[in-house]
Amino acid sequence: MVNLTIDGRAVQTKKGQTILEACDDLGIFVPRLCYHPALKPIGACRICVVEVKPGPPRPLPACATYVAEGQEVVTASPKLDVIRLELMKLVLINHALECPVCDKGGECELQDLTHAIGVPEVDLAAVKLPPNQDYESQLVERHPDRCVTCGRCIHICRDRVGAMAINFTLRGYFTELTSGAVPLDCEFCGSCIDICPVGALINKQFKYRSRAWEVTKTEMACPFCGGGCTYELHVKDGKVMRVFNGGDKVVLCGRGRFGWPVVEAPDRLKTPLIRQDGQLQEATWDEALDLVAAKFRQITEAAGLGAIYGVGSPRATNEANYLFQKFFRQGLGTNNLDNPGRYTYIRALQGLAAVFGPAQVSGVELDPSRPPAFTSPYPVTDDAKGKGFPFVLGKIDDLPKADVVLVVGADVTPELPPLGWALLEARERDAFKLIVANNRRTKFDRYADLSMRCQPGTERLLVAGIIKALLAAEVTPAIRASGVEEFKESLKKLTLKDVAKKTGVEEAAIKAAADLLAQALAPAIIFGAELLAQDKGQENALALADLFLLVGKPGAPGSALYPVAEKNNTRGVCEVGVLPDFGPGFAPVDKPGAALPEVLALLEKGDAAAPQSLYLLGGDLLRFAPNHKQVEKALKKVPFIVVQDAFLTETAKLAHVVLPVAVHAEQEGTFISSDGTLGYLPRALSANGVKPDCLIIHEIASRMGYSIPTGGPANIFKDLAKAMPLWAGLAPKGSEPRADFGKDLSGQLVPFDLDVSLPGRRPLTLLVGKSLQHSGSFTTHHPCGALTVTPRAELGMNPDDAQGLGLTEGDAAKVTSSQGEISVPITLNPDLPPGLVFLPEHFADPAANALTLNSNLVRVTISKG
Amino acid sequence: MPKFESVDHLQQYRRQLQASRDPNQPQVLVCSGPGCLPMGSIEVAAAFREELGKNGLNGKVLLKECGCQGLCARAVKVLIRPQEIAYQEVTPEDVPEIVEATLKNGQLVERLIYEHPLTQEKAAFKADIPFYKGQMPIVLRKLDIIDPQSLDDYLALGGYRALRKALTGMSPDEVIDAVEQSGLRGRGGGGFPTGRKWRVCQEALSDIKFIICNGDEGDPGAFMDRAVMEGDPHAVLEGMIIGGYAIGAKQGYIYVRHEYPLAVTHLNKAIDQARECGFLGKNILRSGFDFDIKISRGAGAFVCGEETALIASIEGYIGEPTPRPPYPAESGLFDYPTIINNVETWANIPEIINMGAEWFAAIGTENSKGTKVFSLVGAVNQTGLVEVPMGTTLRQIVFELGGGLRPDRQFKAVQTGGPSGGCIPEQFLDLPVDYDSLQSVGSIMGSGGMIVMDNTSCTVDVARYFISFLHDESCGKCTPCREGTKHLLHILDEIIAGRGEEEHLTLMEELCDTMASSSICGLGMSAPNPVRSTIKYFRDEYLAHIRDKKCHALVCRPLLKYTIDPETCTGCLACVRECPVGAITGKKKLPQDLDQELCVKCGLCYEACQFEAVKVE
Repeated sequence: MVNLTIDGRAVQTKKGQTILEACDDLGIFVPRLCYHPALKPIGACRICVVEVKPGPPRPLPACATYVAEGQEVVTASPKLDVIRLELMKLVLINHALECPVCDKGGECELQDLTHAIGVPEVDLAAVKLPPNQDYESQLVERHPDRCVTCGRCIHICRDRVGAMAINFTLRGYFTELTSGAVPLDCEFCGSCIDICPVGALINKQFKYRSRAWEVTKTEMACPFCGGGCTYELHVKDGKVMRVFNGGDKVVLCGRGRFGWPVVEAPDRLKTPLIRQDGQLQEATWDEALDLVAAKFRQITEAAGLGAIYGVGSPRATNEANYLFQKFFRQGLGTNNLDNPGRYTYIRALQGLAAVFGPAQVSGVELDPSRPPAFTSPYPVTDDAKGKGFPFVLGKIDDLPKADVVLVVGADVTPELPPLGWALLEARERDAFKLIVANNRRTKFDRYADLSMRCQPGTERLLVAGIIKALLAAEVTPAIRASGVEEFKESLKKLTLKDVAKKTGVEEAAIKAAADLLAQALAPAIIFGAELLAQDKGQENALALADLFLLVGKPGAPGSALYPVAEKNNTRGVCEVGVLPDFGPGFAPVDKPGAALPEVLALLEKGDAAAPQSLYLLGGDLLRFAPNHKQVEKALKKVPFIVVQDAFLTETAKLAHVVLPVAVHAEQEGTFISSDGTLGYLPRALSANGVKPDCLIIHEIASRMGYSIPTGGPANIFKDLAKAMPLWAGLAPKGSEPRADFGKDLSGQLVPFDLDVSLPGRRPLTLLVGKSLQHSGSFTTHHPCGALTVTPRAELGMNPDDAQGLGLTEGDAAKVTSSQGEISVPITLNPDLPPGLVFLPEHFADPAANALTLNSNLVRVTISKG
Repeated sequence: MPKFESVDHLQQYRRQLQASRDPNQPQVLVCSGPGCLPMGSIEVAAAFREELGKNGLNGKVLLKECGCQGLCARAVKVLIRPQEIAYQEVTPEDVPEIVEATLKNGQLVERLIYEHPLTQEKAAFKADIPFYKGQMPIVLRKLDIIDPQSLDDYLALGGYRALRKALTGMSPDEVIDAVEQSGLRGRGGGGFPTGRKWRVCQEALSDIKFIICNGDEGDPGAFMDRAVMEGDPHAVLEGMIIGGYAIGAKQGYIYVRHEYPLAVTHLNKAIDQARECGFLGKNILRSGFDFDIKISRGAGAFVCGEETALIASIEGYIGEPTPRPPYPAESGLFDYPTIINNVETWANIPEIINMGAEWFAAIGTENSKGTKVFSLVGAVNQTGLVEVPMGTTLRQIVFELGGGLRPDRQFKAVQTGGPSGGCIPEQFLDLPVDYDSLQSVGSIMGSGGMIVMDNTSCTVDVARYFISFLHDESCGKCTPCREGTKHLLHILDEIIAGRGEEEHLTLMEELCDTMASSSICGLGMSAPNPVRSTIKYFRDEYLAHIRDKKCHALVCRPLLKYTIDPETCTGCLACVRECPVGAITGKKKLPQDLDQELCVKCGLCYEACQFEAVKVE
């Protein structure tokens, strides 16, 4: 602590704080304009000047001056008042005072400051600058004439988002905010809007729709990706006005900030649909629910309790998924259920579990007193100990503490934006090193200390190469490891030369990566859904788990594995037990059911063991699962399909009953983010006739005579959390589940498959992956949301490849694989190496998975047309 | 050049070099400094080369194109050694005569020697010329002796002896002690004690540290650093290497503006030579100390002379200042501890190490030690670079070294410290010049610009000129400087246009206070100086502009009034023909009328009238 006096008052502050931060903590108001807690001090506006002794004779900016022992700080004096008043006048001379039409009115920091300082009049005048508004850019409108040149937007864009899309042009009095001579071409995260103290950057979705003081603000967890961000939803008259994040962090991605119009999408289902005479017809809730219950009963009576197969949803809340598995396990008495994470995230968990063992928690006891809503009833005590794979998963907030991060097979920002922001934060430390290994150039190659470009699908071999190099250097694991000799034996025949040849990464780079990892004090590994969606995704995870066992320092904050759980509740749906082999909290079940791909194969074959009915809790199976043709064939053979979804997806079109559900803030519930934190979603909107998942499951269950918990999400959570010692300590907002656990980690090095060949002889490799603006298909429904920026699927292609095929930007290309053929416009992308083409997975048309077999990589032929 | 493997090797080489040189060998040094180069020094040197050849003097007479010889008003200058005959305003046509008379026959060419502008006294030898008499060259000492591209010349004059001394006989602490005890203060303008800065940086905990030489000389009319970089580049390098040794840096940067191509060429050549000889690179003179220097070129933004903006510029960011603290000595280039000193400061270091701190500390005043180079320009007769001990009075500099003003003009003020300096009026002419005294009268030392103004300069216009420069050069990051310079300029424009009000002075003074106390960097903090000092010392002139709408110096055009005296006017119509707007009318051979409404105050009639009938007030 540091002792100093502020305005004559003796105070103690934290070491390393600035005077402004100290004043904020102490509740002493110091006027400021350019300072923002999300940014490093900019020091441009000078309005926060305070008098500091000892120090230079002139006042110093409180935002950039650090507290020191014995300092005497004066935050208000006649001298300072004069300076602040004078500075405010200077700022106001050129500020377009159009408050009545400015979107920022009512929440404008300049307005508040002018009021607080009490500027009576502006007795200075000068030629005003040309306004140069930008009305052209998508989603963001720019009014440089309102700009106070604080530089916040530029700093957040450069230092926190890493987009560098805006900057000042010219200088001195003529300094002007610009994106160059062209409209914005950026990540469209809109973080610049919320950090702007004035109305120089405004949100087009919000413009002229509401005044800032008219909205009701609800803080909620973002329901798009697994990043676990929270933001404020601003609602007026039951309608969403905007998403706002004005807190300490500000940064959100475009999906989060601009994706909400999905709620108002014109193609949302409003009433249940029942298939009659081959057509889906509108029906009442009672008709639909009665039909489902009757059919389910009929099927179970005829074909057994296991004849209904359930697919949970990584979009739905923990409560809905928990009820869903309860419906199957307690109601039907079967483990025949799974979730779409099977094709990605579950592979990571399986790979990690193979090396670090199953989840085990000891030393936590149920707290007999009633915990607050949505809080685990298990407090974390000193005895709490965790073992197994959940305890090598990292928290995003800790990632900046890692000193070496290896990114494998992930275009980090589209996969999980907060991971990217954390990497940018980590980068600010001198000692930090970033290793990026991808099949194409991604955003983070720019920041990488070591950038490795490997052939598509050879990532695992590259990891094997790094492991080989580590073993050659006789690295000893920090974690207790068994199976070392056998493991070494499995890599005996592997040579770095061979790895280099197959992966296309130079031997020296592989060795350099191994060196960096071996010397790291807190290494972390990030791998994306892109790596997991390969047919041997689980082997990929296994290889990385082995690597982490060799170099990981789980005692050091940040040193962990960061597999991407891509959707808002991908991790939650697994943890609450929507799995054929594990119940809630990864408790093993006696008679495991069949996994989703097996079931689809059985269905396709028309096997007698195949289920008679599918109950899908959302999720467009036909879009996200590889091998579209097989899935379609399988689904068409199912006698009775129930789909709960907000949209009539391709899968829903094959259903017999479609039940429309509440999305976004139309329902209450919780999510588990990719890093295991609990996100709370309060209900802020009316469901307008559709029902939350929980309620639908409950109504079906009760119609079938099953007793499953009821009483709303809070009650369901209570039931759920009781079954989950793994969630000890979990609470919404800032909770750190599992972080306080004592970790008792050990592992076994498990040999993995070294064959990385990609079948087929077609000349190009297609990668089906993520687009920055979209999250699953959820964002593809409303034209004013994420579709503004990325309205359609385009096939990314290296310009040389395109030239060779006689294609130019925007041309339609015919893409043919062994599985099918699609037509898609192309876009030239020099970040893709020759031979690799990229197609985003989000769109129903063209369906990327019409081309794939069992992986997100497939060999294709491309021609014009 | 050999690679010096040890200090003994260097010593031995130097002895041989000195022994091989005949001190009596005739030498012709053609000044190629910033003043002489555009006046044709290259042609003069070429003429000498040709003439010497013709006369079979090649090899007998040594010809060098050297750095600035100081008295720029008399370009092109030629110095004949060993006699130190200083010829002035030499053209290629004069060269055969110089060769014939002086070099072959030992006679003076009378018409090319110095003549005092006022007293008409003549002086042939450098030591007799008043301009050089009061000077005490330390930094500029070698400029008219050596060929800047010759390392041998530098070595023969004792170059890199200080480096040898530091590396072999002094610990880094002792080097810093010496710099501290010498009392050297930063020559770039701030005047921060150099030794103290070095100490902070040395004590900063970091394996990586940097040395920067600030060669971004941006003041209009200043060319001291340019002259040093062009004329004695090795002195800068030597200073930096010693600095690197003292604080434990391995890498140095010289930030030079792009407008100084010759400085870049000479520095690059010097760096190559130093690398070749082992003064730069790994294990310098077998001491185990590694150091290298890179050149980073600036694009000419004035603000990049500010240390944090300069660092940002080297890092590849926009040249804008960042908040201090942390000071660069704690966290500078790429966030590592960094010493940043100006060219002149670095050039002083080898001399301090060679001659000792006491020697240096004996020169100058109580708190400002050593000498300072000024670029003396403006209304003085003898403009050029002067290096005088701290404490020399303004009167000595202006009237003795500078040779005074034109006989028909009166001294008005001297503006020191570049655009953000202040105007010092006549009453302070006997002020001993040092950091503190200049500050006490509202100006600054700056990097050493010194502009003399006479009664034909209007102080309001001068203030406007400098504010306009600062307004153009303000980076725009902080509010007070970005907006303040604009509004000062706006108000000054109003006053000059005859729309001034007395409240404007108060308004400007308030604005100046805010700028000085709240700007982020030195540019904004010192930007008010031209306005403040002129309001303080020349308030009457402002009031004449504001109340009487008159500019007595006849500079501010909107305030001038042209009239035609009917008594003197002959009606020759010369003025009528010149007037671009037809404001003058009248019949031939009769007095003319000037319509004040139409007059645009261009002054063409005034110039055209041969009978002094057009009056201006």
